[in-house]
Amino acid sequence: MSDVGYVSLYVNTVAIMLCLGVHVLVWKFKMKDIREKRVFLYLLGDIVVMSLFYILCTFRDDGVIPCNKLGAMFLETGLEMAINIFALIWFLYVDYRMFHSVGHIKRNAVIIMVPLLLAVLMNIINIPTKFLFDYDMSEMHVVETSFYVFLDVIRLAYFIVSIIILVIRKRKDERMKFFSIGAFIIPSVFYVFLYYFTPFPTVSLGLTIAVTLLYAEMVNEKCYQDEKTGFYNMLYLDYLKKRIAENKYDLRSILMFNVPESEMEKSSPLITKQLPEFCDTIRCGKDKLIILSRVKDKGPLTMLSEDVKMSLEEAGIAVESSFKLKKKNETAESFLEDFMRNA
Amino acid sequence: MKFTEITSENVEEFSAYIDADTADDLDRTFFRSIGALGDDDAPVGAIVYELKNSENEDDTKSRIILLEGIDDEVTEQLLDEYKKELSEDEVTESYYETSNETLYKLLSDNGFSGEQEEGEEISVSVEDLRKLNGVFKVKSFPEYIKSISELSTLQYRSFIKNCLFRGKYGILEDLSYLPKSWFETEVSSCAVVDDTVQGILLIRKNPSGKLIAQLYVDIGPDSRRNLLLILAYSCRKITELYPEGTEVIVRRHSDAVRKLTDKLLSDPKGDKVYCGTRSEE
Repeated sequence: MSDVGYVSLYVNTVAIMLCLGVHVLVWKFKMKDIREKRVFLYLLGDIVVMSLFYILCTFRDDGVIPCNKLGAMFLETGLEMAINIFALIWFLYVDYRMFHSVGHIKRNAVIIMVPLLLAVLMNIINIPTKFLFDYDMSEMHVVETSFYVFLDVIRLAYFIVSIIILVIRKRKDERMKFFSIGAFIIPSVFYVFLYYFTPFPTVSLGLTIAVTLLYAEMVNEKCYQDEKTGFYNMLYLDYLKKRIAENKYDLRSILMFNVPESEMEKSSPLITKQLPEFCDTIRCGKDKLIILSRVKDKGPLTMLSEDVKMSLEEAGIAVESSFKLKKKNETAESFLEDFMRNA
Repeated sequence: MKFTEITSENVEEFSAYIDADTADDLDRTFFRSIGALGDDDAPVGAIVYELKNSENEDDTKSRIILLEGIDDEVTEQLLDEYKKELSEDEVTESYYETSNETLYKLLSDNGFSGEQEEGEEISVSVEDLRKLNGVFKVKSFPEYIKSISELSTLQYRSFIKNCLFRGKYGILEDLSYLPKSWFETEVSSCAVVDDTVQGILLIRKNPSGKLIAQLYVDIGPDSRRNLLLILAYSCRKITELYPEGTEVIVRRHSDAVRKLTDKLLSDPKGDKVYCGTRSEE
């Protein structure tokens, strides 16, 4: 086998092993959103399939496995389809992670899916027509036509657009802090630079690194969560204190609920249902929850307090609540410190 | 002269000075009203004002909505009484907008600045809305666009909380205190996706029959499309349910609303009004 072949074999074997390892970890990971978990597992599964096709293509090119023209074209087409399908699942995953809306995906299904489904169709039509690529049996390598660039452009566009929408969304949505841009840039970098400027097929490795990074971010996010309730924990409060000190978090009000410790786990889904977006809920004691927000008026806090109380009282859970607004000349830091001291 | 607080219980007595639309607002959280009583305890005047920022750390302001009296002496005394009340609410500034020249002169004589400019409110007729129906070209609405009458209380309150926690109030200082039923539920519309309200257009019907747009916002990922659809839906509903003479009032309180009305309506112009402020510190 050639040197390029050996490198390709090692790179893709590493990608498969890493992927299978992450697969097991994700399977065991307690993710609240089953849909998100399922899509993530599809991503991992596709990388394994893609890496296997890369290995088989390497063996084909180096003559390790005997292959006729049809077989060679089938292997290449299979690889192309796996890359296309990965790009599609990736984009669906990104969209869902950002907006948590199946309705949004359905309504934009045409825009999201049609370009890549077109790419899949092009791959199928290519088998008899060879208008995208052909396999040269004498030289044992793929020969791409000038139309092939369209396929690359479509796939690359999906990765680049996912970066752009993440960047835009991150600015608006504080909840995206556990979702780094690095995981999005890596596949594009591997795809553009390493795939085009080196002879080594490293796409699957790039994607594996990206999903591993995403998994690491999920685990990191979980460290900030209270295991029993799913709300944030005191570690997260420390993180917020740093952000407040850096003027990166506009704290204007704090709402507190006292829920009996024995009822805390039962009440957490009921409270979550009433919580609006753009506030942080932290379990800061066995029977205390605090909600930090940018709201500066009593009205919304009263509304939230009433809704939570009503919801818990209907379930037979007694709850006390209170809230405080930051004073005009008070800093957010001292406001939080005073509140926690007296809580 | 004596002064009394005017509420929904005694507002009828002041009907000569407070119109039905203004009277309807007296129960709202930030609205205040002082009535003047003559020697025989007969109503002789009234002032109605709305507090802004009274529940937060920003400077509290007061918007004078109405000031009427049997003569100038009554209105001046009402202004004095008003000033006393403001100190209790720690109001730092009063402001007004009126088309009434007499009132403008009176307020100017009492320390208010004043200049004439184009008013924020514009009036749109049902006929204008019929033309807009043609512009929108929506043949049928998707299932997720509906009247707010179809929303549950939980759905409505969840969305309002989401708006409030994002700082979106429309023209309603007291949005958190207003129930869904305060709005005209058949013509107010919303976009409901994944069982959650993403966007809304809330419209209130005054006792005089005017429809007033109160809140128009979408916080979901498809906000542009939803905003267009909910606006088109409400316009269609208004043209179906209300007669030709119905007035629809839009208060252009922000640049975004101004841009929208400029885009949709041909040459929308508010009436010439007098505006002014006075420091209360």
